[in-house]
Amino acid sequence: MFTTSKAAGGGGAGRDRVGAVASHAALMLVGAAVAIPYGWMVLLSFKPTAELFAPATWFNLSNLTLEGYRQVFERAPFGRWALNSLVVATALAAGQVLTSLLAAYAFARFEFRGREACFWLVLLTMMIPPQTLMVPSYVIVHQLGWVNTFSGLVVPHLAWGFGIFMLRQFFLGVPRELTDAAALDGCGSLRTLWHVHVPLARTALAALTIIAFVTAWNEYYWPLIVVNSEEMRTLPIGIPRFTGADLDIQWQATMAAATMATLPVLALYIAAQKQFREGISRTGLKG
Amino acid sequence: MLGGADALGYSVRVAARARARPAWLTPARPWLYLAPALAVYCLFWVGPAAYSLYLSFFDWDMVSPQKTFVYLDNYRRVLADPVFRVSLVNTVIYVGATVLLGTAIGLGLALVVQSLRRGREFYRFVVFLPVVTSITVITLIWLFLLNTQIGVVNQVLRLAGVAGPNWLNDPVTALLAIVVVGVWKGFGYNVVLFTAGLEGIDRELYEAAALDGAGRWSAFRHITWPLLTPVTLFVVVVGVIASFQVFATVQIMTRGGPANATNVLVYHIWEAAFRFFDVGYAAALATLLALLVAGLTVFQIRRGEEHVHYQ
Repeated sequence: MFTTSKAAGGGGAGRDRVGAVASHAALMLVGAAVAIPYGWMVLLSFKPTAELFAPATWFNLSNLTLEGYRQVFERAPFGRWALNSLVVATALAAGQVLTSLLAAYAFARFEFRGREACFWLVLLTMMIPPQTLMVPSYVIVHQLGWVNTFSGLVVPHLAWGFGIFMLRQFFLGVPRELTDAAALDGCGSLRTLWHVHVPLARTALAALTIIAFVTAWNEYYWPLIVVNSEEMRTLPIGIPRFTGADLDIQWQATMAAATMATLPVLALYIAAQKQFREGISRTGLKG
Repeated sequence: MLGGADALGYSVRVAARARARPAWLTPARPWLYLAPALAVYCLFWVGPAAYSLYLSFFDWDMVSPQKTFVYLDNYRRVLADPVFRVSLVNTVIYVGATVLLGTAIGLGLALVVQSLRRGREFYRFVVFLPVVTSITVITLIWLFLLNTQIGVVNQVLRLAGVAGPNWLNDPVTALLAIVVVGVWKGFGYNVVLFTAGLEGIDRELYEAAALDGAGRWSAFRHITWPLLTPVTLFVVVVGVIASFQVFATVQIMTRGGPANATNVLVYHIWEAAFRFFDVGYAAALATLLALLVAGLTVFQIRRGEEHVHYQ
């Protein structure tokens, strides 16, 4: 470690120390730029809006109330929205990982006519913004009678290019001998997938599940298109309902809702931050 | 895994079952695994893409049973539409600014983080927070921070004796605000990708360079930068695709205003389709946007590969 940083730095120990202090200072600034907006979100959720007009009362903590949190549940079916988000995100995480697992296995394990074409289709779906298909997708969902339903929120997104791509990369690295040995043991291809590939890919699968869950939990555009009833909203398209009129935004309730919507994801991210970032960077590097 | 006798009996049973398997199953097997994903792709991706192309030749309001064939009229209207031109320019500015800033900040911070001996994990954790936060929440927070009366940004400026701009009601600063939110949400993703890339570079290269008397800048120029090019290409390609999709920020923060100053392509499509029910027009717009992004992506990968170095 020591030789490395010296080699990269090329300076004396004193210069290294100064460099380290400057680096930490710069990163602290960036960290503050990230953390302070979150701090305001939480503070606003407890604070009467009247106290926001002058910096002198910003940090007056004697009038904090839970009024915003009370309003959130009183003015809208917030609990229902949270439940909707939970159902949709769970279903999508499970479904997307499953379809990706099977498709990636087909791409990595078998040689068949049309494989290249199919894989190009997967890549193409990752290149083209899904919003360009909003009109026909809505019409199809409407035809199916899926507007304002969980099916409408979940089913159209059950195939996931990112997941297929990442697992395929992973499975290409599974040694041939392992699959051959499994075949000699009499394992069919499905048993090989289950007993060889899945255990090897356990970390990747965990990372993918979390990424899929968080992505679905935060999804804005598709629920906005396919939901127009108050009951079926998910959190991202529910929270803006609290803002109220343009000039008189209800900050307390809005930020209380935003805080509550952020907490589950935050908890999940803190619990699994390494898998999360490694999952993302692994696919990133092989793109 | 299994005991000897068990395994023998088991494999005999499995072999028997394998022999009994119908002959058509073998070539069909990969397709069985692909079926779930492929079915969804066909119904909700290939289908809509074809349908969108079809609709772009018609005049339709989404409700009436009658669609009128109008040939290339919708495309002609798009090209003649001043709002389309404005939204195209805004989108290009947004994409250019967020990708450039996001990549530069991402690389810069990754280099700084990587130079640390302690605290790397902590900073990587912090910068990644906005990436996992809902765009709705982020946009609402910034809506407050940039609020003219009670916004923290303007109040701090006021303390410094500067009258802050009316951020979201001024055409220039409104687009700037959308860019700031985009960069703030996305730069941590790039930091994580770049630090992973930096960790993949062989340390011995730096030691060899130091022995040759290379300075810090020279080491960056001749080792770090060339070996990071695959990551940089990926960051730029993904960044361009993602930022062309900017929508929620605009829809929540400015509704495309003031006077279309923040109108972007996806928002324009959404308005055409779901506010004005001008379906054919929206489909024509969508087709052009899809071609633009796909074309740009292929172009970047082609051109990028010429400049990419692998270790």
